[in-house]
Amino acid sequence: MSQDRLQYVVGMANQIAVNLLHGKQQTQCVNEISHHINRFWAPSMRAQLFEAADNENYQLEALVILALKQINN
Amino acid sequence: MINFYDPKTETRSFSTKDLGTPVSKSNVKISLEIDGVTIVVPEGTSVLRAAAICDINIPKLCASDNLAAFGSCRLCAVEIEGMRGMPASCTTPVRAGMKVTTQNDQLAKLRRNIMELYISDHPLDCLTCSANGDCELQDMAGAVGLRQVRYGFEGKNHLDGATDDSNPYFSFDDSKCISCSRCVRACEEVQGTFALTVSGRGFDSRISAGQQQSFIESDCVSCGACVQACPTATLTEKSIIDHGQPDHSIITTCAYCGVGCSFRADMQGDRVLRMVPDKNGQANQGHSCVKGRFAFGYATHKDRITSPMIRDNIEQDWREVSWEEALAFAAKRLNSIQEQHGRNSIGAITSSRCTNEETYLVQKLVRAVFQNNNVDTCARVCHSPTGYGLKATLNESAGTQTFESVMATDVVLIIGANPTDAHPVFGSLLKRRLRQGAKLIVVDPRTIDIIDSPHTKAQHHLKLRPGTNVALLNALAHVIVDEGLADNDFIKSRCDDASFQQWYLHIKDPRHAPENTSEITGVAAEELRAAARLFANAHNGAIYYGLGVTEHSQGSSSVMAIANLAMVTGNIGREGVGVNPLRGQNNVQGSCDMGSFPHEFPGYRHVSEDDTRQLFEQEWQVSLDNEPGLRIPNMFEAAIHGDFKGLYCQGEDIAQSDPNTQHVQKALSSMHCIIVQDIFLNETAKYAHVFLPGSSFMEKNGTFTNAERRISRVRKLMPPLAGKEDWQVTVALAKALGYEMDYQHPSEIMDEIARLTPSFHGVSYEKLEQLGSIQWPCNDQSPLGTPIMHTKDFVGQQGKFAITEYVATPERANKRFPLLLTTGRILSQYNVGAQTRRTENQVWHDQDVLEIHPNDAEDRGINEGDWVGIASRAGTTALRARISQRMQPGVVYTTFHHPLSGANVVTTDNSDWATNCPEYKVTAVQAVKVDQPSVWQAEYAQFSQRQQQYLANKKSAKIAD
Ligand code: SF4
Ligand code: SF4
Ligand code: SF4
Ligand code: FES
Repeated sequence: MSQDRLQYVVGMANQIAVNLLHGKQQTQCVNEISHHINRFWAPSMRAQLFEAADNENYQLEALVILALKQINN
Repeated sequence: MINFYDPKTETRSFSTKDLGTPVSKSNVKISLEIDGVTIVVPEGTSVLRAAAICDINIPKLCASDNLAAFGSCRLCAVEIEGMRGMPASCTTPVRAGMKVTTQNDQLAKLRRNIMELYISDHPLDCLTCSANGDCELQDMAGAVGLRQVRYGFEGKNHLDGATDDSNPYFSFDDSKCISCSRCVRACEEVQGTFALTVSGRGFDSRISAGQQQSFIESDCVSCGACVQACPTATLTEKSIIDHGQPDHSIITTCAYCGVGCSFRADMQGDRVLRMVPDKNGQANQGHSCVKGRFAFGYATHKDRITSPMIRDNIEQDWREVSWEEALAFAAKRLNSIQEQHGRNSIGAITSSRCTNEETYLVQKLVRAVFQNNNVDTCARVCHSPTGYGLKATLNESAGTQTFESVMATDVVLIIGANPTDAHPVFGSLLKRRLRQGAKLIVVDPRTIDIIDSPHTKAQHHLKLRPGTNVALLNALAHVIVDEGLADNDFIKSRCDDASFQQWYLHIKDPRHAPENTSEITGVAAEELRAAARLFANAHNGAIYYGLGVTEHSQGSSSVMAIANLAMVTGNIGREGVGVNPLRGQNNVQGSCDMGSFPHEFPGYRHVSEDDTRQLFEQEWQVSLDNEPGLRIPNMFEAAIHGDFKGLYCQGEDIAQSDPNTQHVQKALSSMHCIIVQDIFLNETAKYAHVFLPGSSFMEKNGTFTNAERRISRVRKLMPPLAGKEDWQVTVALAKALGYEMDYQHPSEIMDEIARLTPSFHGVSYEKLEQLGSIQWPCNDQSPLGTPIMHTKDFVGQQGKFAITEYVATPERANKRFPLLLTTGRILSQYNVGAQTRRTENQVWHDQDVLEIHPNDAEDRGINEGDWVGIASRAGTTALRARISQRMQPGVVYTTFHHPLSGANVVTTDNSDWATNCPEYKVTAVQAVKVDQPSVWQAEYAQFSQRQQQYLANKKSAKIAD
């Protein structure tokens, strides 16, 4: 799978995290991020997110990494 | 006999009759006697109207029930017991116990004399006049029994008056003008443009556009209100002059913008002669704009494609084939793609230009036949953040009001919308309210027209930097909370306390104070505080917003911030307030309601909800996928990487309307089967393998849902040119793929929608016939529909405050790209322009231009009309310059109505964090003077030419498989 493509989902996931992280406890942020991704992302995109998480060339926000546990693979 | 007036039944029972003066909304009832008949009407009604209600028709010329009474012609004179002389009934309000006589010898003589004077200065060519059979002057001459004109025609007259033909759609024949000033008043009162003037007095008074200009040179926006108001042939549609009077009429709905105006199509056989705004139209109340009123000629334009075509690949001639062959070809390709690349390798895009029923069928095709959820709609690129943001806060993905509600608003807040250009009929209503004294706050990077137009001025223009909406909205909320202006009762009784407390802590933080955000937004703190106070202290404050809010990397956050603002000030749940998204295309609301999003069934229910899915599985007799599908940008991304190969695209031109054109072109060129269903060979069709000819809104039955959630009928005016209505094409495609959809008429599709969708349970074509239109939710709780939402609760829940932190877009001006480009629309053209470019509307806007501030232009040596190259990190295009003070320095602006302008070559693939709605409104660019169009434009022009040739060869082409 091409690098670009993983960067695309990484960018989107990080953008979601940055927009959801303010004014809340960490658990709530993590819940909101994982809920959002489960609800709006096609399974193929979520699979790419997991792939990127395993690849050190991609930088996921800390909250996204925490949210991965609750994201359906 | 006693006649009782009931405001609810009046409009329906007197459906098309002109009652002479506007309706009075007073609750006080007055009883009077007219020619011995007793009638009860609201206080403030004119004697003329009261008489007309009980079918006593007093002659009139200068009065019309959409204009304030003027009292100039005196034809409506009556006698009233106890009053001296013969007062004009149009300017005389009813009084309790009044006794009115409308007919006697005295009155008859007076009226005949008046008519005699008019006719002595009027050409007597009735038989050959374009208004013959539809002329109030002629009718009145008949009504008063005019038999002779004693003054002769030799005296001073205007019979040699000139004709002004400059407007492409109507002409002005001065010789027939009776100076009743109905046109002037319509332009002022109804349209709010003040383009017409009366010059001279008495006999010498004449009507002219602007200061003795021609119509086309004047400020006239060609709305047609004056033409409709004119009682003579002076202002007449050219189509009537050319073809004569209509023989029948059909009521239908405009297919352009989200106002959803109702029109009476005047027909001769199956030719549409003219479109006249429908007086009973609940969205537009008898008004219209240039697009719906006049720009319908595209439907019969020679570029219409009326037979199906196929080809193997996109560098090949098209081949004209039968419907069967085209559908079999499409089905075979889609099947083999799915066999090779899996179930998820195909999908579809629905259109906000198509009807609810058509959109519903496309998503049904995807879910039930393609067996995935890869369906999305062009609303993705405009209002998807509205769906997301309003659902998250107000628990329903829709605007809360009627358009009419603005007439009860005291302070109007407009953010990122340009109603006079993009939603003109609402713009006119709004201007009327502003002339009555409502206050206006505008948040926009540009100086839009409504800020300073005749007799309306904005109290505050917060001219922010593009991309800083959230910072500005947060600052408004901060001031309200900080200065104790919140509506605590509303918050306590209607909103979720936990979410409010959390939000309150967040928004109170000094980083949101206008003194601190002015750095970001460029808006001075004092001005912002003043605007916040004005809004918070209003008895009724209403927020209107458009694409300037949604098409940003924080579009969804802005929508939620708007909802927060409405809740914290208690401006939800009654007349005059609310959150009002102004939708771009006619059926954006409907296409979203109909389940066009990859994660939602019709009625905004997530595909993972088991109960809902089972309901659909039962009705459709298939099992359905419980995982969300791909959104449009995700489809493109997957296409470029070879996982997405087939697309059914109904009535949508993604190649022109979506951002980062080169990226889109790459995605489209990577697919194996693109099926385009449209009325023209649009830009997307140049990448297509199958072309299925679509039908215009005049050729089909269905419904549209406007920005007020109002469902209105679209009625077939003529048979579809290609033989099938669009919904029939989807049915046929499903059949070719082996799935039967059994409908005889779109009403049966609506019945299915109503069965499956709680907010539509009560909707049917029968009820639409009875009520004219229905605002959903319409069900057992509200059988007649719901004009104002959230009056008691938020669809069974409490309102939720959402935390909206400002996050700067990565798209920032820098050394290489020092300017910010923002995009928008203009009145005469519509969206990608496929329709309006094929009408005379071209005279107002024949190319997209780049608006640039004088300082920025000077820095770059750019003069008015120069070619300017515009480069972003996505691509380069070139446009002609227009130097404009409306811009702020550092910001440039263009529209994207013409394909070769390539405005979207420049826009990037940044998008809203929650919905992927593209960030059209902010692109960092550089602008330089150039002497020719860009490389992309040259290449694309060549590509288009090639594609036109492939089309021209369609009869002779052969195909391999
Ligand atoms: S067409 Fe509309 S804007 Fe133009 S003069 Fe008539 S009423 Fe005014
Ligand atoms: S143009 Fe028509 S509406 Fe206007 S003043 Fe003349 S007759 Fe009356
Ligand atoms: S384009 Fe909009 S405002 Fe104009 S006539 Fe059509 S629906 Fe009405
Ligand atoms: S209609 Fe009353 S004065 Fe003209």
